[in-house]
Parts: sequence; C-alpha cells; structure tokens
Amino acid sequence: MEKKVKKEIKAGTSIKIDYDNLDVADIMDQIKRKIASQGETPIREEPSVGEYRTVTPSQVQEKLGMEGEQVSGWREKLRWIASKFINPLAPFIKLIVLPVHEEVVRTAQGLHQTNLRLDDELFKAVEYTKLLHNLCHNLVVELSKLKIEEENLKSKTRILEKDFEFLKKREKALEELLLR
Amino acid sequence: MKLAFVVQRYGLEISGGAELHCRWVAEHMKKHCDIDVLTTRALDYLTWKNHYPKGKEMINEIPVRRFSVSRTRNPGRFGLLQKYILENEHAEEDEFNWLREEGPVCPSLLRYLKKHARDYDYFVFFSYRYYQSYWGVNAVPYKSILVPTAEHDPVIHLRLFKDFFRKPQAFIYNSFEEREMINSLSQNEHVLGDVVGVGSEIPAQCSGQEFRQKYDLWGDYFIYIGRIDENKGCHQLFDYFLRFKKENGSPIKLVLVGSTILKIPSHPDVHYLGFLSEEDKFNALEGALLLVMPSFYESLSMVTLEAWALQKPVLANARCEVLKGQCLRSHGGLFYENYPEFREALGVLISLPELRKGMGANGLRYFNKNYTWEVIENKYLSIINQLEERK
Repeated sequence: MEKKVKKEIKAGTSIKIDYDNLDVADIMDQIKRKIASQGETPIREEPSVGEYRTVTPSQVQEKLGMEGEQVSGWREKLRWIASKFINPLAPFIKLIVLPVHEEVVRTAQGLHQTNLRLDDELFKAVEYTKLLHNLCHNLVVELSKLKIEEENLKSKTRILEKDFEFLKKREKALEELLLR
Repeated sequence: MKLAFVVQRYGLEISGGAELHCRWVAEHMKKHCDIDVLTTRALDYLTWKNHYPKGKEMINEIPVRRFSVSRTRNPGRFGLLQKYILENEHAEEDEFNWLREEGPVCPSLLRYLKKHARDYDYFVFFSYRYYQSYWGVNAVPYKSILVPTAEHDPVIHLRLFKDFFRKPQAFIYNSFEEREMINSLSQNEHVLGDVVGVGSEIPAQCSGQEFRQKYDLWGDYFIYIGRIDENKGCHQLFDYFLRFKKENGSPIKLVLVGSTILKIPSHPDVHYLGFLSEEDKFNALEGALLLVMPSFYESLSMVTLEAWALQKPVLANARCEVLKGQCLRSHGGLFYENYPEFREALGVLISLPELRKGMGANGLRYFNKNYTWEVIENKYLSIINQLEERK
C-alpha cells in the first residue's frame, strides 16, 4: 500500500504549483510537457456517435444465399428452372420489392440540389472573374498614367538640371567680372 | 411584465437538461414578473407520448398550460433520417422533415402563441433544436428571447438554423463558448445577448460521512453524476479509469450516480448507485475528492457548478470546449484530452490535497461571482430592461 501512495505523490511532485495563485493553464502545460518528455504519443479519441442498424444490400444477398443452400434434390431442380424464368426479371422485382424507390428519389433530389448549388457557385465565380478582369484593366490604365507622369517628371528634372548648370556657369562668369 | 416560458417538457419529475433549467429560472423569476409556462403533455423525451393531462395546472405556484403532441416520435426513423441528413447532400425540405421528426409536434401550442401574442410581453424559448422553439420563434419573433442551450452537436450546422439564430430579439447564452459558436455560425452579433447560465439550489449542509455510512462506502473516491451514456463520454471514462487502476495500483474508487443505458464494468472499485435523491447526491458530492465530467457535449453542466459550490475540484473532458473554458476561467479544475493527460491530471489531483483545496476555493469564488440566483435573476432582468428601452 505504501508503495502505491508513493507513486501517487511522485506524480504530483514533478509539477510545480503556485498554491497562492493557481493557474490551470500553467498546470496543464506542465502536464503536457511531462507526457511529451516521457515519449508518449497521445491518441486523440473522437466521440462515438450511436450507430443505427441498417440492412445493407450485401447483408440481404447473404441472407438469400444462405436460404438457397438449404434446398436440395427435386426442389433444387425446380428452383433452377424457376430461376431461369425469374432471373431476367430480377432487377425489376428488386426494384419493386426492395425499398430503393425512396432512396433513388432522395438521391435525385440531392443531386438536383447539388447541381443548383454548383450553378450558383459557377455564376458567382464568373462574376468574380469579371470583376477581377475589370480590376486588372483599371490597374493597367493607372500604371500607364503613372508611367507617363514619371516620364514628364523626368524631363522636367532634366530641364531643371540644365537650368541649374547654366546658372552655375553664369554665376562663375559674374564672379570673374566682379573680381576683375 | 408578463412572460411566457416555452419548453418541450415541464414537470417535477423531469431532472436535468433544458427542462430543469427552465423550471428553475421560472421559479426564481416569478417574484419579478408574471410567469406562464407553455409546454406539451409529454414526459418521455424519446417518443413525446402524451402523458400529462391537457389544460392548465399549477406547479410550484406557476401556471403551466399543456398542449397535446399530435405526432409521437419514432426513434428508429428519426435516427435514420438524422444520419441521412448529416452524411449526405440534402434538400432544405429534408431538414424540415428532420425537425418534424425531432418534434414535439404541437400545433395547438403554436396556435396559442399566435392568438395570445398580445397577452405577453416576451416569450422565452428554451432549446433551439426542438419543433416548438423553431416554429415558436418564427411565430412571434418580435417578442422572443431564446435560451439556445446549444452544444457542439452536428445538427447545429443545419442550414435552417443559420437564419433562425438571427430572428429572436435577444439571446441568453449558457457560456462564452456557446455564444462564440452561434455567432460564428450565423453572424448574429448584432442581436442582443448575454452569457447567463443557471443557478443551483445548494443545500445549506451536506454530509459526506452520512453518505459513506448509508452506502457503506469507505476510502477515497471521485464521482460522476449524470446520465451514464456513451455520448456523455462514460465509456471512455471506464476505459481510462480501469487503465489507471491497472497502471498505478491506486486505491481510489469511482462512484457513478444517475440512470444508465451502458453496461457498467464489473470492478470492485467501480460503484454504481443509480438515481439518488437530491440530498444523497449532494452528500455524495461532499464526500468525494473531485468530480469527473467526461462528457464531449455540454452547454453548461449544472453538476460542475454544483461541485464548485461545494468547493470540489473538477476533472473535465477537454474535448468539450465549454467545460475546458469553465476550468480555465475558474481555475477550479483540470482537463484531459487523452489517456496520458487523464492519468497525470487525476494523479495530481488525488495526490495533492492542497491543490484540491485551492481549486475548490477558486470554484466557489467563480460560482458566487457568476451563478448565484441573484446574479442570474439580475442578468435576465437586465436583458428585459434593455429590450424595453429599445421599444
């Protein structure tokens, strides 16, 4: 018993806790670090949702198959002859007997809804592309304007530089005149 | 001020869930307003079969009007339909079929709401996912207040609820996580709302010793209180607890309280006590080292609040955002996401009495600050006052 208690205490002492100011997030971080340092890879378990029992087509076939195996002798022959006639009609019989009609209707409705939604999404995508195209066009126009503006500014700068050079030369000439 | 509380079931026999939440709030709000409860005649939440007599009756001085359920629920058919709409592309019509199957289908209640809308100032609807709440809010949207009691349940993502959450005049949420979830689902931030929750009736005195003597249960134990169900994470709890016992050899016991639909593992340290009276339940909680709450889906967890009111720490399932959020905000409990975290957190809690004491004290402080009835009543009144000011 003593050994067991010691084990529990050991689990607690490896975690530092400020009892005056308990911080759950900090304690949980320490627990997670401790688990990681032990090299354990925790498995995240998903909540299990209650499953509903449904009969799958394979189960139905299995059941039919098992019933068939029990028949033997003249009955088997009769069954074989009957199956020759029935087999071609089997899909129609299944369609009538098995509750697939509702499923087909539901699937069709589901597909129809998906189709509508896809159409909607496609329409949105087309509109979005048009907007993007307009945006690109406007950007190109604005860039061209900016380029022209830049060229104008460059030529203005060149003129100003020339004026500046001229003024410098003039300044020098005037200085020389004054000094003479 | 006259309020109508609309809920799927109502009665003294119904414990837990939104129904008890509704009854407690109604009983506490009756000193501030005139309250009528509008509900169905159902007692069984699986079939909604009419059980109570039709008409008006008084329950704890509150008038309760009961309306007949016109269509009982077939749980098998409902299960198949829910599975279908959750796993397949489907039409809007399928969602309305699901809502009809979910029930309780009670057209007379809806007729009453429309006819008597002027007689009440506000209608407070409990639980978003039921027929009477959906169509009730649609019948009187300009006077409706919704207490959604929503969890991270897959059906909340159905398209019909996206618009629905924009219709009520105000929301009374159970937790910050619930508000965040509903806001992100339906972008209804503009709708008035507050995180309120529910209070709890804590007895003045509880005795763990009395419980131990009555049930002949000695030694340290931790407790789970609630429905013992796979959806409540009990299966995982059993698995983790048995692994913990095997690995650590700890003498700790697990006590289970509540009705069960799961097979309880046969182990000398797993004690199943069934459904207990309120007195015994609180005594059991008082005697426990801590409360474990393994549920994946909770919108509030009243029992967690009760544990904090009794200064007991909580070990919660971190997969439930609400429980994890409550633990982080209160500093009153630890949480786990997998077995190693369960083992370490439980080990820390049972081996450090000082930690349990500190977390218990934090829990009590959190409870007193947010979940006393005075606080809850004031929050309800504040929402109603804000709605009145907007008129």
